[in-house]
Amino acid sequence: MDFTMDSIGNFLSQTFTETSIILTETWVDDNFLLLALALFIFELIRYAFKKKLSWNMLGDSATNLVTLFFLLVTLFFVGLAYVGTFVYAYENFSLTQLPISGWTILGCLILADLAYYWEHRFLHSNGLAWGTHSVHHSSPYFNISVAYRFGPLDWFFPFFFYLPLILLGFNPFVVLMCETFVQLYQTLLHTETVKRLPRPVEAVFNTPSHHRVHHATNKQYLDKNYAGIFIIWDRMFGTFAKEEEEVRYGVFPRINSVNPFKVYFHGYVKLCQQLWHAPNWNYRLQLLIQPPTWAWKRERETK
Amino acid sequence: MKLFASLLTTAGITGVVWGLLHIQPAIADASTEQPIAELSTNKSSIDKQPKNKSVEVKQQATANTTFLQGLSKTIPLEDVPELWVDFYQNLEVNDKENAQQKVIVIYQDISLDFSEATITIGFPIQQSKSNKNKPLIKIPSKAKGTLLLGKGEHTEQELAHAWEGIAILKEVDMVIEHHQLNQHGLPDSSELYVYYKNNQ
Repeated sequence: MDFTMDSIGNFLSQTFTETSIILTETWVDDNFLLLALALFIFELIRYAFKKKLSWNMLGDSATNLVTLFFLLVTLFFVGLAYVGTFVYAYENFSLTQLPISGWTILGCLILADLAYYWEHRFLHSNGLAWGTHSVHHSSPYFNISVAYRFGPLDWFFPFFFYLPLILLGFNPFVVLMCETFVQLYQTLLHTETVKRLPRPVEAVFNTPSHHRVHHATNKQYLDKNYAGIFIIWDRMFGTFAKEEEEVRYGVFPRINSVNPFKVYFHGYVKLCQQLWHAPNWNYRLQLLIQPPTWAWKRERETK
Repeated sequence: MKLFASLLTTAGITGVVWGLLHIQPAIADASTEQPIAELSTNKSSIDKQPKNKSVEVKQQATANTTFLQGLSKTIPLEDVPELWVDFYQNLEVNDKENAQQKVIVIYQDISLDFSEATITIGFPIQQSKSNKNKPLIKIPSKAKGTLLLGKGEHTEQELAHAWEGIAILKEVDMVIEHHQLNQHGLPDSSELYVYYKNNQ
């Protein structure tokens, strides 16, 4: 126990170089993908034993990985500009420059998780952002591969939510590492294998149970549990819902396709169609800034 | 909680975390480090620098400012261990009885490829009549520098590795190693700071 406390104490007071931060993030990224793949295979075996494994589920999972590939290709082109802007903002506009210590990394992780909560809530709050995020929610299944189901602008919106951390003086590479950690933590939540974790864990941390609720189409679960690592943000800001009724996954209307291109672009294709057929410019504006349920309600009213 | 209240709470949490990070040990240590001047009550006599080496030394007259007086050479960074040997030899000859608590190493005029620098190893001192005309280097406060390696027992490898934390986009003014000495006069714990030109 003392050893553990000493290790934590040492970590917190230790300072790190930018290079070590970049290397750590790369190492975690590489090894985490292997871990996720191993867990995914375990999930598939479990589904097979439960006789729930289907060709459609396999196709859907393969599509998820193709959307990951699409995202990586996009990042190949925009990644340097993304990091470059962070570095430029840090060098020229940050209020201060915090040392890269264990304490700073811990503080940054907490704030990055808080930033993620708002980013995630934003993605659900307007048609423009939902166009990309709906891709992630469109799978009718819930397994590790769904964590890798990305939309075309999933790289774009986070930038604006993590930039304030740079301006507060967090090193850009520390912010990027924490951003990655928040994402990776959630990857493990996309599973039906884990039912409930011990109560203290469920109270503080986001868990598979909480995240299943987030992916649900059940009315009482809509727009709930936006958290990344800490579920306390949802509890604090009134967006928490407990998993009680069995969860139904996906989006309305269902896309019923495992075509990667259709899956990847369907959110914005649908938004463009809605904009095209909109009765007036105000309606078009509302389609962009109102939650996705707004358009759904209007369409139902007109039918 | 309503949206506005949630946003206010978020701003509050952010402010608290950010504020706490400003009083974290590493920064607190750096900002209260001025007493370095008080530690150096001793008058080191390691001031016999090699006459054939030109060293740019900033002479300052502020009474409470801490200065570095010591052995200075422009050498490749890989030769630093030899400079330490020279420093200890000088120490044995000139200043054996004066027990110091700190040794400071200042790297100035660092070449662009970080292969060579003007390196001064010495003790922190206050300016006095006796050393008024001697070459002294003003030691900037730690608060003005950027911490590369926090106070602690570090290996030479760790110290060298910490240099990788220097922001390559900025112009380096100097790098300073602070070494706390043990009872035998050997470095016990160290920390490393970088100072950029024009307070970048």
